[in-house]
Amino acid sequence: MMRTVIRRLPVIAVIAIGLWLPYALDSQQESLVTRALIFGLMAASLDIAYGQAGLYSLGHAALAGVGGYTAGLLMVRYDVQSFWILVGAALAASAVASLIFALISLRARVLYFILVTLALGQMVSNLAQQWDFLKTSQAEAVTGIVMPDLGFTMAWNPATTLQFVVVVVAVAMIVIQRIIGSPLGLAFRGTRENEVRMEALGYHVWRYRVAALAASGTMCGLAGALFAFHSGLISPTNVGVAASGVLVLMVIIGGSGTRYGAFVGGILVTFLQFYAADWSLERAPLIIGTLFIVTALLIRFRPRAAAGFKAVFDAVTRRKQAAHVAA
Amino acid sequence: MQVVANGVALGAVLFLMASGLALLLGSMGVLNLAHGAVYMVGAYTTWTLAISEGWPLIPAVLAAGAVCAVVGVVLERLFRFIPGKPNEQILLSFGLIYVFGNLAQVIWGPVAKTPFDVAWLSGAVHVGSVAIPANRIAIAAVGFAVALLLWVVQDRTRVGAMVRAGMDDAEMTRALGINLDRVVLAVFVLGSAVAGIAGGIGGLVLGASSSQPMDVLLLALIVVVVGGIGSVPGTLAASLVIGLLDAYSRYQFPAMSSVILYLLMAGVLVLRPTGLSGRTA
Amino acid sequence: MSLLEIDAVSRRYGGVHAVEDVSFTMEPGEWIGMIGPNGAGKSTLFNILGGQVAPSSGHVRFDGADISRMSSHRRFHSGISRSFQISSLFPELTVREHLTLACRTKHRWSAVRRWRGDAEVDRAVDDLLDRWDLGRADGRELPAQMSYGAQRRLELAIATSSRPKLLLLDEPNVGLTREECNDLRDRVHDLGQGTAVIFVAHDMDMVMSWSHRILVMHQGRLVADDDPSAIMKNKFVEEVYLGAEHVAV
Repeated sequence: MMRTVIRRLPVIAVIAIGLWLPYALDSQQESLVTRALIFGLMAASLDIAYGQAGLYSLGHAALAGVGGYTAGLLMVRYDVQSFWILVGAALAASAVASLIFALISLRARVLYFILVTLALGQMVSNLAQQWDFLKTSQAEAVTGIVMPDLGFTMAWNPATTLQFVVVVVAVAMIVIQRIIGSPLGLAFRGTRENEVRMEALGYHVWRYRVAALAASGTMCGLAGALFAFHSGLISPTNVGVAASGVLVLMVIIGGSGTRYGAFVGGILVTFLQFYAADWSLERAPLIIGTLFIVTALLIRFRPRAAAGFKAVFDAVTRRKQAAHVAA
Repeated sequence: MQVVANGVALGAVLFLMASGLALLLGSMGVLNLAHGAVYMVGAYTTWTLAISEGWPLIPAVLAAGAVCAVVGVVLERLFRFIPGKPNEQILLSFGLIYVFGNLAQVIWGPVAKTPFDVAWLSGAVHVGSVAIPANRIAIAAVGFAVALLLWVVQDRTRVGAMVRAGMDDAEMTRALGINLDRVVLAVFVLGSAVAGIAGGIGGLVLGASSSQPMDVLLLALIVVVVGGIGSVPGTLAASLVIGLLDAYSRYQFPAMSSVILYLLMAGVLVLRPTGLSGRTA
Repeated sequence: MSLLEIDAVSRRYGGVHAVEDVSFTMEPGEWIGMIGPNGAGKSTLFNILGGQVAPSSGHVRFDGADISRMSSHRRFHSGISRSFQISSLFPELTVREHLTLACRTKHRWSAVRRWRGDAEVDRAVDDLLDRWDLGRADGRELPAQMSYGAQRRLELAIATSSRPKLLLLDEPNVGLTREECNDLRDRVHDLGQGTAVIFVAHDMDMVMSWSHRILVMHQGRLVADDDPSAIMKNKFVEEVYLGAEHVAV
């Protein structure tokens, strides 16, 4: 029991900090941190497919969007308020969407696959833009979403929202870590590294890829639902190519294929976007774009050092993996 | 009939875009998502020269092509500099899309430029009882001319043979003493020049805007997936199909027009993963 | 009914016959050595047996079932396992992870257990680490950190871990010393009497000492199928191959 507690210490510490934070921040900061955590989760979910299984999907914002739109529409159109039903529906919808996504995109080989996910993601975004069912206001979006009902009284304000999201994200991250550290996760990494060898060892690679996309898409759907609750609205821009691209960038910058890299990347890029826009709304894309180009160029020099936080996390995760292995 | 004209014109523009993309993807496996940004540069450059400065259209478009060829050289340098793996290429490509798009807004303002209005092309040509807008014909003409040129280059020249060899087996090609790096540079330059011309001539119908890097890229991607990589006729056929389908669906089902294209792509993938005529990448 | 039946198998690539009209059968426990000059079709035939490539015509029957079009992952479960001529490893996985992937046939889909912590699999992995001398750094090395010989041993450890009915070894001796090579033969023998082995090699001494039977490939065709002493006396084989090759690689 004691050993379990010690091993879990970092996670407990993070959660504790998360719950305490609201007392130290003002509401704008709280909202920012909440948003950062949501995207951290979204990026970590993407990484199940991207980093673990080596499936470079540029369409995952659409899968998150399916979750978000499901939750949003149920709430706004059908007056469903229960958190449990909304999230359940969001998970189910994104799971189905991920399966369809997987079945179509996996028909394509490596480079084609990337392009196809790009296009599929954009297709969902266009659908959101043009299908009236998916719009609840003059703006082409679903608006008027509020924090859901938990089944017991809860006063929603930025502070409590943050605490709530901390808990949900923590649980979701535990699930993701469980998957990564399991035989399934190991199999994902195997299919990423050497498809032919895996097949020769008796693994039906295609099935594992479908599973990876399904798992990652479903978790993205959860993050998407959280996004909808927190932002109050969800629009086609949130699910399109640009959004998917940013998601991938979060994963790459944080370090794809590591245990917590993508999560950290998500948080970092969210902060980055906020401060860049704060500094200059019109020039924000320029700043961020330049940063990405520079990062890409620097990776050449010292792969371990330039992908800075990635290197740190590699070190930490090697140790973390060793700790798990020793258990 | 108007629909057909629109469709063919769009198809021509798409063809120009897609061939550059397909060449890069197929021959070197370079994931250059910034190709659409080059189109945008071509469109804006042509606008500046032809509309703002009053140059005649053809020289303006050609000049735009030249400018984009230079851009192509820069892109090639950048892509050569980074490790050739998808992660880095995606990072770089997206960074370039953001930067180009935003710079365009800085230089040319945030409002998109409307389709170019050029005097000698603003009328319509009458074929029997049907009036076809002259600018659509011009676009189609340029498109087919370039298609012919590309086909000749790829099929009949030494350079073309080297590109095809590189597509099939890069290592062997290098082993045969062929400087594949120069070929890659040539492909980047040629592909970018063609994209620039596409942007310029396409401006007659699509104008110029800072959202084009992504918009045009996506359409080109659909063409590449449907048509397959590696054959000019295949890309041409796919471009026309998609151009016509797009024009038709805008006419008949304006609400769902873009979704239909993606459905087609999904359908092709399910039924024939390598595209209508392509080799496997 | 034989364990393996190759029935008029051919594989064409455009106009080229990589493998042409090859037929032979094999019984459980037999050791067959396949020799022939480079380009003779040995690798292609191996790929057909392993399921990486499908035959253009002809049939492959294993244990009574027609497996000509069977995918390689299903062949594994039917009892066919192979090694690759160039070590086919996982660059970012540790030795332990390699072996775990190879040993774990149950619970491959489990997302709830830890990948390490299944007593049975861990024992099997520890055993393999020991037997194949891969225990350096407690199995935590990556392939890139290992010596070439160690990589080959890992490759072979993975290929043999499942106790297959038919083992396909593609040039297993490359990178091994004479001693290690003999070691390898003993280890494969340890897999059991019934294990059938087909191996490709260029080292004639090895081929002679390992095989019950030798198949000679030349330009896609099977030109000789006989026991070692007969092959040694076969004039045609000598002409085609043995003459130059008897100076062992």
